[in-house]
Amino acid sequence: MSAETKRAEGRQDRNRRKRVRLWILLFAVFLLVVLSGTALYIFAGKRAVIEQYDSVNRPAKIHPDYSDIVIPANIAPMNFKVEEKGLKYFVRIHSQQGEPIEVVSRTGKTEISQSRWRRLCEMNRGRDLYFDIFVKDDGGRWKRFAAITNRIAGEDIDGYLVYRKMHPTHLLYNGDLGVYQRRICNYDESLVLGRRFFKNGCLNCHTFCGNDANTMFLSIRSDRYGASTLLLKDGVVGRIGTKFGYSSWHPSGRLVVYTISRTPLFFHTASNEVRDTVNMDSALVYYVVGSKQVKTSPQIADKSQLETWPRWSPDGRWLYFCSAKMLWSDKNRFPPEQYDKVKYDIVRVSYNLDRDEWGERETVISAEDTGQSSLVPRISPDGRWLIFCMCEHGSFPAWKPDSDFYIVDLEAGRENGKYKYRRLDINSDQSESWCTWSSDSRWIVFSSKRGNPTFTRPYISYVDKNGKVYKPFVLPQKDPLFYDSCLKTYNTFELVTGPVAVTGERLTRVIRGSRQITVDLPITMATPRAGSFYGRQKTSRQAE
Amino acid sequence: MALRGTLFFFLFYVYLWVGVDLRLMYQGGGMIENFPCFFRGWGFFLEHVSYPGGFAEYISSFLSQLFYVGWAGAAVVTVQAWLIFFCVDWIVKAMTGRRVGWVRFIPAILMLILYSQYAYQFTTATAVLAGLVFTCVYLKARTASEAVNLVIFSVLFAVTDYIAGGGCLLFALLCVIYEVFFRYRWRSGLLYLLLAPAILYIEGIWVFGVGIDGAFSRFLPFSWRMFIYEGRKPVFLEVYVLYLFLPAALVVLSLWELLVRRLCRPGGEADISPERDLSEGGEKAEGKMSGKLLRCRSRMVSWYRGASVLKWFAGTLVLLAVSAGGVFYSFNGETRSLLLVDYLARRQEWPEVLEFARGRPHRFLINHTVNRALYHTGRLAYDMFAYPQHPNTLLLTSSAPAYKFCAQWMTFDTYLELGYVNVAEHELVQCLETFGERPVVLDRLALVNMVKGNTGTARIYLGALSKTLFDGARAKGRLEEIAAEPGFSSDEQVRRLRSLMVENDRGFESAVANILPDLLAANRKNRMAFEYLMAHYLLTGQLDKVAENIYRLDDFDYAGIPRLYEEAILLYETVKKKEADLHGRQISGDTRFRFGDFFRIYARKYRSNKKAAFNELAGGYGDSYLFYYIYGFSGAKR
Repeated sequence: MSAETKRAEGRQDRNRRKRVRLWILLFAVFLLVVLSGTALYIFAGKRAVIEQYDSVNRPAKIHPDYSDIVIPANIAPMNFKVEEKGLKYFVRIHSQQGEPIEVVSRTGKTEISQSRWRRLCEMNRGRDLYFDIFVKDDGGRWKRFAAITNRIAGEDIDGYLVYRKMHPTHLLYNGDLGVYQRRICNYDESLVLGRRFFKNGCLNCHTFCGNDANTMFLSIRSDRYGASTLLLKDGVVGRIGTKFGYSSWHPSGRLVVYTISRTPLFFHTASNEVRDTVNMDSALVYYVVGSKQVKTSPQIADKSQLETWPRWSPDGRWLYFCSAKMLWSDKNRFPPEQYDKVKYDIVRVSYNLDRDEWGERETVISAEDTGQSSLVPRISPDGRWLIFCMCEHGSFPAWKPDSDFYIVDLEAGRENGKYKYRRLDINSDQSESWCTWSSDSRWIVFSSKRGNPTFTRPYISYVDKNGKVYKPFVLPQKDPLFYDSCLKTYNTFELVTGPVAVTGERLTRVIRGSRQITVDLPITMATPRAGSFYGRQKTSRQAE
Repeated sequence: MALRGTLFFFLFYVYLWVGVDLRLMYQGGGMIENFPCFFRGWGFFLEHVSYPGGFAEYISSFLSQLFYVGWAGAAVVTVQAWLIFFCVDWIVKAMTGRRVGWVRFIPAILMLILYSQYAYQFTTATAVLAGLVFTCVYLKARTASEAVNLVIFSVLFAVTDYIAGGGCLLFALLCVIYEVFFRYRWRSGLLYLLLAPAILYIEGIWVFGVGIDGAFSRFLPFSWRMFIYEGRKPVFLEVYVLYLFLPAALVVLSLWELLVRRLCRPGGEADISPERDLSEGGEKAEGKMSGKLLRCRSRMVSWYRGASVLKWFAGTLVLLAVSAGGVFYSFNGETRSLLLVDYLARRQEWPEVLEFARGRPHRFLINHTVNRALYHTGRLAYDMFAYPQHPNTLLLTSSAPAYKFCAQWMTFDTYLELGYVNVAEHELVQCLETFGERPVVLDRLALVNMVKGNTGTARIYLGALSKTLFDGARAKGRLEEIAAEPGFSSDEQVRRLRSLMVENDRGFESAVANILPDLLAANRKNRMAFEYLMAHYLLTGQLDKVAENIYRLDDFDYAGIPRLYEEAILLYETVKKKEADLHGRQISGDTRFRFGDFFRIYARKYRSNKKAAFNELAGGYGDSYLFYYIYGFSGAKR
């Protein structure tokens, strides 16, 4: 046998051995996968039985607080952590029908299977949902706490929540500020538009027509692309060459009322909330989508008044907004004299869409009666309920720790001629602000700083037909401890029935593009330049 | 060759560890805005792997945390540079069939230049490394079939894009160069060029939903992300070279080989066959050389071979000289000084701050920290004029754009120590937005909120801090303390700061003359506010205010009147011709003697000629207030 042949045989032999080793390895991996799968199937399906335990006559402490609440059947699994000391935790979630969900853990973190949660909630609409919690103590004995009872509502909440997420900034915007949409039935969050899409600009309010994600606008500011508003309607995205402030779509989708204002920031040396703002001057104007014109009327743009926070009634016949008398004559002094005495009324003006005619102002909630500033009116889509914020003074409730929610029965008001308001039970000792209604008027999502005075979080409450608002719960996250280390603040919530039907890239192309709808404002007013701020700090620093 | 590489990387490591000191980059000093944060847990990981390039960012963020420990950070960067060196070597050999020693050292030298400037580009280097690694994989995996190669390229390109963002463009470029210049497969090269942007678009925009910038330019020098950091001039050239040196070198090598082969062939005809064996290319070309050239080359080669030790030394010397030259010309000593002073201040190593600053030229940011160090060592009222001073250094109230972010970074601790808690919070929030969720910022924000009684907010900042690598344990300890005592009323630091907080609520002021009296109105025993107020009066020449506020010494335990105040009072009494109310205190005999001697030299000996008297006064009284008052600057005494 020649050396060449021997070498060739040797090579073949080595290759054969290699192949055999490879097959053995593949088989071992396959076996491991099959065995793990089988084990998971067997143990996951097995019902844990704890027969001996000591009863504790109180419910276990869980975090977030998901107890005594009403939840929609289409909510994501409400993962939580049992905050009781123990070596092992066992949680059984059950209702009248369907397989109970059982979760065992060593940390108390209860992460619930999405599919099983979904099935259980779907099968038990309108019924109670129980969390049975068992904790094994240091001595090895199980303790069973009194069951936590929640109720699954008959009505679903709208499928998506759109919000802005950012650091609790003071002046600079340099982080990952963006408008996001979160699917309510699971934890999927996607970016609608981020400031990094258009070279570090700023994103402001996003507003939908009703709860329809297909009709939207979104205001942006950018040093490079200027201040403008993106308009999404009928699948087409356009850019309007002016920034919309707080705004509201007319239910017909034919016009948008928005605020133009000058609201510089300033900072407190001694109060708990450092930031503050004063609405120095503002008015309401409206953009007519068809004619691409901006108009206004003396009823919504009175020079002696500060008008802001517009909101259409669902029938489109009334525009509700906040209005306060301007208490200063010197518009250059900042903060102006008596800025902390400004209290807003909620007023309304009738509107005839066909004739484009505005009626006279009517006061709905008077600051003279309340002694407080009434802000951010939000009317339920069925037209019956008006929820608004009240705080001691000013126009920006998110920075007012005393801001609370109040509710008015508009139907009763129309009948009696007097709008009675009542404080909601859902308020906390921190700021509540910015509420959005679901399309069926049964749910609200609102910003709340409960638990901490810095980071706003999304809270959900059920509203029954009588206007009773139930105990709120924080929007569930996959990690139950998510909010404990989340350095982002959530704001400007809008519930919508479907996902925003446009990609961030498409919106960005429109921002970057040269085409835009040019509008002339019917009134002159100093509006903030993109990227600018007003405040004593900068002024005095520059002076030095 | 291996020995040269070993020596080079050993020196590379030592230089990064000792010379650059990567701990300074970790701290950032308000100058390095793009240094990444890293948090333990799935949330942070999943957030990063949800976009192209996020994986490289995640890995880089993690490894960069090791900069916290100087030697470990230097080791990480050295390994990264070595891997790039190795990949470059392998690629050049695989493509050209020979070793071109100098090319492989270029990225490491570039990295030295970048680190000498304290420019953080670790993530960029990771992206480049990923591009090179995948090029190696491509070269190893490619077959004779163009169709299979196309599939391999597409898959690898998509993977590289996902892992390394812009690093995939380097991969694509190298593959195209290989196919076009070394394999003469123009069609493959063209297809790759067309395929690359298409894959980027599909993967970036359709699959991951990132913007066009995110899809096409992440980690690349033309990305807007390079421009957003306003504090310092971005390093474009070095990053461009880091990406382009290898493609450029390969093109040049390929063209050079073509030229040599053309020159070496008898009759000048080139025999360019696509199927030639590249590894044997050199030998084949040798056989075809003309006689004259061959003789010449043979002589040179034999001489060179005979002098291999000399060759090694010469090559090594050139390499080290080039590296040292690059380092020498790019080293940013001023940035290093600022970073070092900030680093020492955060560790409260005040004597070291003073030692370092002695004799250094006037820099607002350094002088600001020096004043803090003087206060903490109890020397502000005695020695502040031994260092350069300016009225704006106390609270960094200069509006110079260069200090925009540094000032916020450097003053949050100063405001916090003073008890101006809301302003400290404001500066911290600005820093959070500018520099990201850095541990030191989270730590101070937690403290601010504990002081303000915002336990919930403090918990959130500590919750985030507990996920960091090096501050996690301390944060967890704090969280346990909060759980045990939410009010923090027994915490000494919290109690002290609470006692200093201002009560007079009004809009922020940056006028020192208003801030400090406010603080003293809130707590007259606020020693730092008192010393800073007096320093402000001294710096702005307000002698009457110094005299007016001497009564505040009653609130503290000074042994007599501090020297600088004594000098100011003597000046006041001389200039205003009236006696100051010293609340029963006496000016020391030593100060009176120095005062008399100073004016004897200045007024009598030199007849008030400032220029003529300068040397003598600077030598004897360069650290006195008298000198500052006459000359308008300080720190003259060596």
